Amino acid sequence: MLRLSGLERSYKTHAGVNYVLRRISLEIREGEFVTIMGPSGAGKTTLLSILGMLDDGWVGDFFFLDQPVHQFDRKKRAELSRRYIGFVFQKYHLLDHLTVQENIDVPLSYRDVPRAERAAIVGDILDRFQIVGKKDLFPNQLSGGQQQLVGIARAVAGNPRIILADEPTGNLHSSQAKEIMELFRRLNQDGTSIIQVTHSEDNAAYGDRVIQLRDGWVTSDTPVRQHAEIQS
Amino acid sequence: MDSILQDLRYGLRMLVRNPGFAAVAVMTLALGIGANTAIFSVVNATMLEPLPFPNRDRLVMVWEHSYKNGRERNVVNPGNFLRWRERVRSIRNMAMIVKNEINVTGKGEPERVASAIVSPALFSITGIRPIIGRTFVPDEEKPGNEHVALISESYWRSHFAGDPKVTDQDLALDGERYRIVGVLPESAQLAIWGGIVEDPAPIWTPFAVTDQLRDLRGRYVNVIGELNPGTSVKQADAEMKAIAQQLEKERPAADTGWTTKVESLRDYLVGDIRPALLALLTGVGLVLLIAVVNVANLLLVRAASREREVAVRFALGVTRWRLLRQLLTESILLAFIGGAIGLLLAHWGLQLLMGLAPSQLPAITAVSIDARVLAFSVILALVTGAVFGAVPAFRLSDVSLNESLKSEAHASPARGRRRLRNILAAAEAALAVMLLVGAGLVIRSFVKLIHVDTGFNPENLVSLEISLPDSKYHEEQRQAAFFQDLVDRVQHLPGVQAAGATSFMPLTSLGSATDFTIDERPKPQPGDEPDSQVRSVTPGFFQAMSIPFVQGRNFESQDKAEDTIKKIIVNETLAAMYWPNENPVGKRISMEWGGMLHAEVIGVVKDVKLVSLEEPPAAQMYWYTPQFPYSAMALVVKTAAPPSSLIPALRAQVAAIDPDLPIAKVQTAKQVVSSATQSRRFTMSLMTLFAGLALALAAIGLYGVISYSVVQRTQEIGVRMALGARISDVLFMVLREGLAVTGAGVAVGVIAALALVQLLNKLLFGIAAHDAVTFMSVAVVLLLVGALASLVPARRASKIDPMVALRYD
Repeated sequence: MLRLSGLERSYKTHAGVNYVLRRISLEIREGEFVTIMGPSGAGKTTLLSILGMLDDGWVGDFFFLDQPVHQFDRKKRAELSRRYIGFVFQKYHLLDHLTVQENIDVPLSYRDVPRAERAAIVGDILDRFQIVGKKDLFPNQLSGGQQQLVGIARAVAGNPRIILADEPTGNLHSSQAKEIMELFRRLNQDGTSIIQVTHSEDNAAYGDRVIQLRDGWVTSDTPVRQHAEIQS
Repeated sequence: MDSILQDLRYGLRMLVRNPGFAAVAVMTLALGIGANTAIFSVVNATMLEPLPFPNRDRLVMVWEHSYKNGRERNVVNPGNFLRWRERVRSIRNMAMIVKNEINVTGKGEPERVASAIVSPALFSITGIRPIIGRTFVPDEEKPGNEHVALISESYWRSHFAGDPKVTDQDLALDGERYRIVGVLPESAQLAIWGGIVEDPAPIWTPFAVTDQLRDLRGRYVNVIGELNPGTSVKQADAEMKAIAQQLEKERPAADTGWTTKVESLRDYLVGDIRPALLALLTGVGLVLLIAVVNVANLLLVRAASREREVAVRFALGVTRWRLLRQLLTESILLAFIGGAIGLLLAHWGLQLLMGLAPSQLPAITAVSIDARVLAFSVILALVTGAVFGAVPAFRLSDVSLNESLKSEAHASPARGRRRLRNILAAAEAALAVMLLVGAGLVIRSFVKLIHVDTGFNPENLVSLEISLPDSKYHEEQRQAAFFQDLVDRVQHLPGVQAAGATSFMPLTSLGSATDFTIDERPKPQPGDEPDSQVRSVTPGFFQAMSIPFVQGRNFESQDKAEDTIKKIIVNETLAAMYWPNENPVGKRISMEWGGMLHAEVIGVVKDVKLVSLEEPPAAQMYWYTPQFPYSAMALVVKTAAPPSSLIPALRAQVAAIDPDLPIAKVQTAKQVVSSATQSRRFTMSLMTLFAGLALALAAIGLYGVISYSVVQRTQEIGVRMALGARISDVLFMVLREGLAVTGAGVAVGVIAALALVQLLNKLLFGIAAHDAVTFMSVAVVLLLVGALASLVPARRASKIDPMVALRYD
């Protein structure tokens, strides 16, 4: 589904060039649940942003659904991201002046989906995530877990092929985090590919594969069971 | 006291630490307060400052008022003045004033100066005291005793070098000797000239009351009076109206259809310009309101960043009242700094304003920033500071401790805060609409006025006025012969295309009018006689002024002075009014003018604006100068060359006939026409300036609100872009917000303007207060401004890097 080859991301500073990602080569297949881990500053969020086509300042080869993203301009990349990718943020980033229902509707409005169809999709999502009763509430009326639930619902509303989640449970306590990860597992079982960035080994255990980053390099890329054995 | 000083210190520190915000807020307030102070200075000097007379509250002007033509302030018949003086009880003393012009010779170049012929009682009525010598005594009202003169202070200094022995000297006025008996202070002008300081009267002479005055039919004097103590203007007015009714019965031929009007001297001085001044005061008031809303919005924006500080203060024990006081102190400090700069701007602005002010603006005292204006400015700063500071202060003092101390970031700012800022920005747009509509109506009125067909062609036309002294030109034929001779000489000058003379130059607000009767028609009831403007002209007048004939002929040499049936030329309106379906040529009229005159219509000319541009079409008749002589006439000369190049030659021709004759009011016809619009031009210029200021402030306010909204929504915009928003989606989102705010403001502003424009009715010409074109144009302009003001922040929003935005906290 997704293939990187020799991808590098750097920033110019006063002291010279700072490499955030060094010669990243990896492949992610359809339906995989991949976890990216590493210490702070390893480049995890940057890698996720590049995969989500929010960051253009990289070099190398990037194929998404066999399409050469590295040859696309900003507009085409944004189009690709809009059609196939859903985002879940650590800080939820719900729009405070919109209700739960309206927040879920936002990505659909950018996909030129007709109003009636949007209403149906949003209704379906609310039902699926069991938040129909909260559809008219504003984000500041929800708990952290509920807000993240809505964030995931919003990400899923556009029926993406892949969900990118940056520390999705970082601001939640353990029982809420467990619920969110269970949800991700169900989504993955239903066919959605997931790439998550996390520090949590518990969260990593929900996935199929763990990619370790350190100082911008991929230091390991192992199935989750093998990763767990290494950690223990 | 300590805590107040602490608040002031802290407030000053906050401003110093936020120089950008402070500069914008201070300048916005300075413009608003400065403009208000400048206009208030003018209002103060003209409408509020006490008149410089001891019994100022009892001084009144008394007019005759014609029912037929609606003229409320008609000059008075001197015979009626004498009859009023004998009968009235509520007015204890009255005086006549006639504005005149007089030739002064024997002191260097002959000069024609403005003069005032006044009853001696004027000085006891007004309490005017001379600087040197004495004023007139009652005896000097008697014929033969009137060869005494008073001079103005400025004339005394310029012509007599301030000589304290000036009362030993004589003046030659119109060829006769007058003994100077005193020097008057400049404030005396107010009693006779309405404070028109551009045209003061340097020379005053007594009004001699002759026996013949009682029987004269003409109306030509102003009357000033002093009410009895305890009598109101309304009571005096009622009594005078009763006396007018008596006179109607006693003198039906002369007084039918006439009543009186009594008004305070103050109302007379400022009545005509009061609507304009009030409109200007409203205009600057709106500018200040916009400035206040602008600064309130800026403070609201700042308040958002101070929530944590306020929350900490609450946590440390501050009371709401104490916090409010501190916040309001900061606002008032800001307002005072803005007010101080505003005073400076007002001082400079006033110099400019007075330079542009029309000569008709009565300056009761010199317009300046005096104690009252300073107090106004201080109070305005205080109120302004309290008003614009109140909303942000109350909102900030109401902050939720819990919410503010949480570290959670929100993707978008709270709805309530944004709504309030949008409401304030919409309010600015609404206020700007109101001001722009007012200015737009005044501008369109002015444009209509300057496009009024004057009836003559002012191109390459020059005029000057000559007044023949009675001592040398007592006989009417000598008067007529002088002007005929002068016109003949001038016509032969190189570069002159045509020359003529007229008793009154058009559009100088001067003229004469009278009743007449149409021969072979039943004599109308007294009071129902037709009336007409009357001018004495030479034949070349029509050619020089390019006034075309539509019927008949011009005056010719065959029309002799001694003809029993004189010749007149009438205008189209008179012909249509009185001979609607007939040929007026050959018709005859009769007119009382120092004896009964009979005349035959020989021609009809196009209408001319004789008195003002605003006047509706009125009956006008032109008499032939040799048959209807005047001692003072205006020479009009049409030239091929620039008019000003001919002036020395014209002076020389006058001097060739009579070297002792001065000429006055040398001006081009274009200057005359321009003067006719001076007052409206002044009001229009200021309204346009204020409207432009309002628009700029509103645009800045809208830009600020939308710009800040984009900054506040940076994270939200990043999220939206991460969720698939295109650049166009972001652009449209921001523009839509800006246009929604502007549109709401425009809608409210239009409704408010519809209600308020009635106040402008007296300032409008040729246009209705609810003129659709003006309203629609203003709405479109504001919407465009709103769109432009939103465009820059919208473009900025579209360039947000979603990665940066998502990390934005």
